Amino acid sequence: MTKVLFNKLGTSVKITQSSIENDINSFLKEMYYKLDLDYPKFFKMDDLCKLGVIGTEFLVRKNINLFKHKLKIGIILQNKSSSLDSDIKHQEGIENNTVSPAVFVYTLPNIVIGEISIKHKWRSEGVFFVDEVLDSKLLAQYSNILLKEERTELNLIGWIDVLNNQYVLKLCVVDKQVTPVKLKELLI
Amino acid sequence: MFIGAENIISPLGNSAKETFERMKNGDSSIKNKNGLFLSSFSSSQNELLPLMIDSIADSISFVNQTVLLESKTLLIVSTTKGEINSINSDINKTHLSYLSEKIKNFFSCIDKGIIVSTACVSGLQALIVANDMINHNYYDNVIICGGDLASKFVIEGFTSFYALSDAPCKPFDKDRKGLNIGEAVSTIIMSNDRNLYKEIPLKFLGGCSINDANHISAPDREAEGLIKSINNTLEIGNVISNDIDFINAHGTATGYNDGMEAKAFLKLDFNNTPINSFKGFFGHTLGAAGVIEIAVSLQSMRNNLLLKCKGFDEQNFENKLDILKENRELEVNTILKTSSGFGGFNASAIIQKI
Repeated sequence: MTKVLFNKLGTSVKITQSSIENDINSFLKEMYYKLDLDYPKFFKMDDLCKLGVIGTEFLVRKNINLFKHKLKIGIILQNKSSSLDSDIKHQEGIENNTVSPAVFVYTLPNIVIGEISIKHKWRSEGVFFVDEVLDSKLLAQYSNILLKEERTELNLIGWIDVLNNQYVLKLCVVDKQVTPVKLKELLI
Repeated sequence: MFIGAENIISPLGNSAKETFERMKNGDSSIKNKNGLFLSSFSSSQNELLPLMIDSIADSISFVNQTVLLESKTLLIVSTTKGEINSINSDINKTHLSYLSEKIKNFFSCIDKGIIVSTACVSGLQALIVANDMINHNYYDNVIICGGDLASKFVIEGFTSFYALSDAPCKPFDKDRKGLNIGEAVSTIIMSNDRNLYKEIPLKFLGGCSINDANHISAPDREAEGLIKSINNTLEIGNVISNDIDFINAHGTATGYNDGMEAKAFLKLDFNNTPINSFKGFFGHTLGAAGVIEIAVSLQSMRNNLLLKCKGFDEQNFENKLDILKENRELEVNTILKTSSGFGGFNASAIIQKI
């Protein structure tokens, strides 16, 4: 089973595999129909983007009032594997002479921010960090900077990683200053 | 925040001064390699890490190292593909944090290392993040190192997009046909302490990176994302568009990108502001682009010399933009830098003389 868990307030969502047997493709497809997304573009995306779009959809639906009338929604994401899952597919394409722009375009980790922004028409700040493990201090610092300077009104913050059918998403929404400890709790 | 101590390791030279001198003379490192026009090092480089270490070491030689050691220093690596050449031989190296970890362990002055990876905007965004982190007192200094190699991985990818030009690229020219891939590494140091620098630094007034929510690989034809980014940056930097003496654009020389940028500059009334792109000198250096292009711009400001937009001849923007056809001596105080990239990212930043 792949688990989808929320915190009490519904401001954070976590998607994890309980076993590596859980195929990412069938999970993402199941969520697409469960959420009744009706967004054909979804099927062109790589798994990292699909996972990001699904996670965001859960949060947006759970926090309708929080997102209402907000124009400046920042997206601050981090992961370990960058776009390596798609990199490996592009590399196979090079070796088999089947290189495709539809694969290559996903060989950048920030594309997931683009896909989420397009889906929700959010035209605001976004940044993608990469590190070995979740750095709640850095993510809290940058979220606080954007909110304090009023460059954003609301931030989507999280960890999203996909590699070789192993995947995890921890995403939360924050509209005020947050300490690294508090953020870590939200992204636990 | 203060900005300076710039280094460039490019096929044009091993320092910012050397690279700038070559550019001043109109030299370009874009060469025909078996029908493929690209800017690459003369001795083939398989790894990025040694180049990044050399580049950072050179930058550190331009600052007071005691001050650097005694204050809190962050490293930001900006790259799109890191050690992608190792994808078959050693997958661990291709994890981008391999670079920040190794570099942090090499230089004792670095307290923490992070990676910013936002496509072609990575370099400029790394500088923006650096400025933000210092402004909010999280760090005293930030060493920003941007780099990417002209790997088979990216060349094959851009070829499949039909984005590569079959001749040296022509940024902002009416006959522009696409980009040339380039490889380079560049380092810049930002700090809250003017005394850190041996040479007079400049000031980074701030910037931002805005998503245009339009398309993951095509720029918004109405340039709304870039316009918003520049407007926000002017507000953050507390300057007006009239204060801008010079714009170093992204100017990849693809039809769409340059057209989008021109539209933004015209809409924002930058008709009389000199504009160039450096892509005609050393190609599109991807994750290094924002850093290397700011490094060259700093040299331009220090020398009061704007470089020509190499490859540019005639525009198709009703001759309304002042795109630099020749080098121009000009006292420049305030400059605007823009970058746009895949994922719909549009970054901009302002630098001023102190």
